Amino acid sequence: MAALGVSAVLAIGASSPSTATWLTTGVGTGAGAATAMPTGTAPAGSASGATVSLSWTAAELGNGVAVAGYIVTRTNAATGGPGTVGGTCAGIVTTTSCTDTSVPAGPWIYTDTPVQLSWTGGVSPTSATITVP
Amino acid sequence: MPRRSSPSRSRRTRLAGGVVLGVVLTACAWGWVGSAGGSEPVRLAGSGSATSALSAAGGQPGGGRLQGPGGGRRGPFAIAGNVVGLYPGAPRPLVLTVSNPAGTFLDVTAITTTTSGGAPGCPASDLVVTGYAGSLPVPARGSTHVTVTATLIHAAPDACQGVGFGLHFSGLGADL
Repeated sequence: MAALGVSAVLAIGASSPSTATWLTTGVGTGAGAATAMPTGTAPAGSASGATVSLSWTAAELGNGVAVAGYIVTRTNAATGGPGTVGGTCAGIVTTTSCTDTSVPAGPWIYTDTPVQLSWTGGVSPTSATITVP
Repeated sequence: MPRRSSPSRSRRTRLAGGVVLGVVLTACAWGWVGSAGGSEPVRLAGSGSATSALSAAGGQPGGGRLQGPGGGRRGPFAIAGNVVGLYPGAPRPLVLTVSNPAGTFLDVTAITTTTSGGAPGCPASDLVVTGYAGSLPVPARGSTHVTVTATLIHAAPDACQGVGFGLHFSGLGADL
């Protein structure tokens, strides 16, 4: 007769009757599933002088939660050389728009990449070419 | 082999620590009582209430624990639960269902969870699940729910994206 993990506890007093409580155990299994990062959506933008304004659609995790931020990049459309974004586009952008300032003259394309703490999503398609005069 | 005694029959059994108990049973449920040290168990047909006489070898009369060697009046209770949508640094509720198959009231006092699975570069230890400690009543042949928290750690790498983990629950409770 098997009954696993069962024990009996008697609280023993020196002079009074004791009561018994049966200890028992529980077991079981379950599953946990991590969600995945989305790919960014292509940013849209326009130039005004050396300033480029960008915006894009919010990206969501697989569970519908909006990602915490984005990394924005700028690439010279003619040479393929990378640029360094400035203004509010520098670092991790926590909104879905930013302004890149002091942009050198030339044709530029932008991307955004969702980030969530230690996770990085997929790089968005590139924006249309934005020409800075 | 266990021996069955009559409801009112006195038995003496020795605990691993040297405590000798004379147990006088008074009523009506089933149970196994043996020794923590693995000496011969005694099967008791009696109630959950017992009158005991104690003689302690070198110790003060006090509490004693009689450990059943595998015999008992019920099997383990069941714990189940799943959690989805995990991502770094975000505590997610993990609702556990505790089911009591026995015909007696159950008071669950502790639940712990260990994790398994993961993926290369994403160890199971990156998923942390809080424990439960308290007093969770579960009716006879019924179930109840308790919520704990599952969190994928802040530093969980990209390798954890979309990964599944195994959850293994263990609990402790008392039939009352």
